[in-house]
Amino acid sequence: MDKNRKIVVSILILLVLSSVLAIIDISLTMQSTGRSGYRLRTHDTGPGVGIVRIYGPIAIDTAAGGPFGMAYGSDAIVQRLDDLSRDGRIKAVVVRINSPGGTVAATQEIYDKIMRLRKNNIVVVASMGELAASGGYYVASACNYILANHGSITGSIGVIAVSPNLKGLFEKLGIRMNVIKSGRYKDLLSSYRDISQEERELIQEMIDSSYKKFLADVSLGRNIPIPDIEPVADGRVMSGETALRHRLVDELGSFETALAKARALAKLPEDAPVYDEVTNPIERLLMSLQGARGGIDIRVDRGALYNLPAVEYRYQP
Amino acid sequence: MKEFLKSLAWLDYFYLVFTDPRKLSAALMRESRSLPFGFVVPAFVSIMDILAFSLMGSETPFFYTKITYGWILLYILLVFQNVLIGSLVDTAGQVLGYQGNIKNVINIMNYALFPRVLLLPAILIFSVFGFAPVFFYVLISMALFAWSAAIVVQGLSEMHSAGLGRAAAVFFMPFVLVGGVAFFTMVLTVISIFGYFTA
Repeated sequence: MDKNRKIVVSILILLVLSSVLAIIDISLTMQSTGRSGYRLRTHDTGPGVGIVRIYGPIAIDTAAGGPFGMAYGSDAIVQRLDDLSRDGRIKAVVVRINSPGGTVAATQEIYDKIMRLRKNNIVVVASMGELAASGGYYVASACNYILANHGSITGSIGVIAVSPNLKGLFEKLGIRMNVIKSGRYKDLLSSYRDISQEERELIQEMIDSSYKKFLADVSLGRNIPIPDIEPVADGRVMSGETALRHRLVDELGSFETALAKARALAKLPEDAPVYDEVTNPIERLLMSLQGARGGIDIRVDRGALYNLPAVEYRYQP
Repeated sequence: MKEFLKSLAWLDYFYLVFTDPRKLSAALMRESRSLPFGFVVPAFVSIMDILAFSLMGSETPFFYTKITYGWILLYILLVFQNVLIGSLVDTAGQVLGYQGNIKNVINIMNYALFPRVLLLPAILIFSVFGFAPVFFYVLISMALFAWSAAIVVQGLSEMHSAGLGRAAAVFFMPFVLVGGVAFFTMVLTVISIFGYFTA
């Protein structure tokens, strides 16, 4: 086959591929919108509400950027918040949270970013899903207004560091570790030996420091004095209803209510557009190829996989 | 016909559509089997047109009916349109003193539709990235229509051994005449209706 024919064949293959992609796109759009009538795909341009979703354990992912250059973990959340703050159309943001919390640093980064949005006069409303406990609540506390469902699990204000003690198992199996270290605490929280009292105190100091920061930040975000929070800041989880009684949330309501509240607080009309994360089916498909679902998903749990000890704002039933 | 398909000579026609419409016209006139094969192009264009248009909106399940059967209706309309315009263009050519050959005119018009298939990949990109797909649908459609018209004009120029200006006159004369007649018909109709109601 000569060169010219090969070019034509390439064009024909491209056209067939485009047709397949178009059919997938149209079918997926049809399923996601579920509309009974034809509606022109238009892109909103007016002032509106941005959506950020925080689903799963919060962590800074070290494997940054997939094949399509998408960030994972809390970096992706911060990036999304940053994008929204730079977008002139965004007058309010709804942070949808369904997370048991996560690492201290990652949670604090998201908290700080939300506080910056507030300083830039962008209204931020938190909407709790099934779970917004510990670090999930920490993030919510940065928002101007918090809505929880009646049955949302929240609270768990506290810090935890868990490390398995496998000494007995190691002894049973006859496994002994060779450890060469530069300092006495270098193998702190190692799983092959007991923790010493000194080591426990060191970790406790770190936990206490993070706990104080947690309390101070919740107090700042919620505008409630620390002594008023302390009685329920003992790691207990609670329902949305109980959290409302303790002023940890402002109102009981769904995601839709949160959107309406965000519009009201930002003085936007009731039908102001909502700018969600990636909505195009093909774009979603491309992202799913690198593991990012629906734009941003921080479902990263490397600690559990590699059994690395970590200090976390996390609810661990 | 089987040999024609096996020879892959038809691939050359698609290549010439993009690169050299004059050579395309000459090649089509030489090969009689190119005429029946040429009717495949409107079919291909119909399917791509339906897909490109469907990308403009959030579809209903009617989309599956359109893509299964609707394209046949569109195909018939495209063929009818080509036959009708081809007849008028051929008549216009004869009026201007050229030898009539309606088969060749329809043949070149069928192949000239081929660039329209590029509408789908172009719109798909704008649709995926949400960058004014409706605006670009209209803009690219107009550009592709102009491209198709340019192919037909060059083909007519080659067919009638005429200059591009004369070939353009042959091609556009039916549009001007039909457009003019339609305009005056509309004006006279409006005047008549207005007169009826005011009398």
